[in-house]
Amino acid sequence: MIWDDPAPPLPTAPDGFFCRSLDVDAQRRDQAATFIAPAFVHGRPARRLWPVFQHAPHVPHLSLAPALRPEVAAAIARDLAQAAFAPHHHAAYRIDVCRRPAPGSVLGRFFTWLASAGAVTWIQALFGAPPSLRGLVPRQVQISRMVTGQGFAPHVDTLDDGVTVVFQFTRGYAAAHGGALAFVPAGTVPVIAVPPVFNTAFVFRPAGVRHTVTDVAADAPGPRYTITAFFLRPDPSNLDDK
Amino acid sequence: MPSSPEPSPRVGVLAPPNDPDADVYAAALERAGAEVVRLWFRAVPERLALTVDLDDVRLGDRSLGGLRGLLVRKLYFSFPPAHLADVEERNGRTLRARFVAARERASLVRTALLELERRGTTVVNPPDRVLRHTEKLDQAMQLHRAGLPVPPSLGTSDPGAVRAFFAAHQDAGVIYKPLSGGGQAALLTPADLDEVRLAQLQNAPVLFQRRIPGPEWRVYVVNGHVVAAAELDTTDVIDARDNLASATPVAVDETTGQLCTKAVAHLGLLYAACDVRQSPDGPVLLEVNPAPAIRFYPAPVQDAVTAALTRLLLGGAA
Ligand SMILES: Nc1ncnc2c1ncn2[C@@H]1O[C@H](COP(=O)(O)OP(=O)(O)O)[C@@H](O)[C@H]1O
Ligand SMILES: [Mg+2]
Repeated sequence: MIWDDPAPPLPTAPDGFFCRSLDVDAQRRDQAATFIAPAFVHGRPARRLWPVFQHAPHVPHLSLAPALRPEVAAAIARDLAQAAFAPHHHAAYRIDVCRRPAPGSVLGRFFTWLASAGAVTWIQALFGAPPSLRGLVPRQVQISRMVTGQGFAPHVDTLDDGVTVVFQFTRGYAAAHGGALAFVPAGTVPVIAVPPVFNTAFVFRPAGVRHTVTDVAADAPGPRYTITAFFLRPDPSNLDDK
Repeated sequence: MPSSPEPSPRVGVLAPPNDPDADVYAAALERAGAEVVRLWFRAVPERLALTVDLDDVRLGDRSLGGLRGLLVRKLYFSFPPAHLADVEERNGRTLRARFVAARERASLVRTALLELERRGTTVVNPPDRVLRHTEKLDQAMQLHRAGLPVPPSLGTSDPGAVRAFFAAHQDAGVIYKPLSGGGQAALLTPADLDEVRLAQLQNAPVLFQRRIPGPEWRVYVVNGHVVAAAELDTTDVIDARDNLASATPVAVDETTGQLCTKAVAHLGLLYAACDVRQSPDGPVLLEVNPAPAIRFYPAPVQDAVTAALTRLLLGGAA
């Protein structure tokens, strides 16, 4: 019997694996699609989004609307209204944060996903996986709430390269109600102001970018809610980084 | 003159920077007074240099020579690469160049870890034993040969063998999962025995096992002793991880305890978590994990495991 036929005919097997889970990319796409609006998971012209993002004025940025599946956005908004928030440990940051959303909740699952490698794959795929987005890791996910009188002084989040995504869950705000994410390269006059529109996501390149959130007005119809995910390239000089 | 205080022992934790299980392990080590060095070789060599010579192992400008212990939570490096990104997202114009570079990196990283062990660092677990975890059928075979109960198992790319196995285990059902892990376990159905579906085995073989009924235990063994365990309810789920929220601490009986310590010793592991099904016929070992997750399990389990593991890494008695 010949064991190693030198020129075995290739079997005409169908594509794919018996264990679906071996296809990590497909698995991650399915995972992203449970939260993100289909157009931003399966959308074809992904490569065209990268130049739009890169060459946006002032700061590389892009808005996604609607960002999440409507039922997911609604469920997260419900969970946010019931979540346990506490003031940010840094007193200068006048916001409340939720550190541990309930594990089984949609908010909890979204939070866990945003902190996973699957979310990195999604953001890379959104832009057609350009080389500049290689090697990102999910650095931080922050669930935040601002109520009347709260706001966020101008600050820079990070010097590391990567992408920040701000998912918005605020409803019913008019311009006068505040809560806008404003990019202020210097002083206080914004070059970009992103209003808190429900179920939109603002994607930007955070490295060294000074920004602020305008104070929530007394007559605002409710709190301002955001979930912010940082996908950054780890700085190798910091071995002890956690 | 006051005597200078003992420097805190340094312990490495090898894991991606965003690994939440590594955070749990590192926090326990820090509480015990260790200086924790988080290590990850992903940036080697593009942005971080790794150097091994006869005297030292250095990562960047930092010597790893004096590490008391090293917890291997994830090993990114292997050859062939376990992660596509390790070839795709690397320097090198051609696939071939990147493939060869991956082999070179894996060689140096493995040498570094083995050398740390030779220099006296307690490496938990030794890299070669962590890497063997991708040979799941082989692990079951080793345990079976050692006389320990494992599910009847079949690794194959032959449709005929799958049909026969299905027929033989129809009473209990058949589970299938990837041979190298990293996927969900699923139940084999008559629809899977379709010719076109089974022909996919020609793309990659699969591990099939008799389905073992009963609640699932996660039994943690450190340095030869069972230190804690949790029970998962398996009603209505195939893969017990779909029911992690049901995890509750459980007291380990002698039979199960001995089964686990024997299995872990047989595989040469200092630390492991055994997935055990408590079937009506007694405990059956599904697998032994050499670099287990911990954060999904109740706090008392986490505390007992991290305490024993910390003692092991710091060189005390368990
Ligand atoms: N033979 C089996 N019988 C019953 N359940 C199984 C069997 N094999 C796997 N499972 C279920 O699937 C889960 C995952 O399988 P496992 O062998 O532990 O692989 P891994 O955890 O590496 O993916 C197990 O924890 C168990 O709940
Ligand atoms: Mg397992």
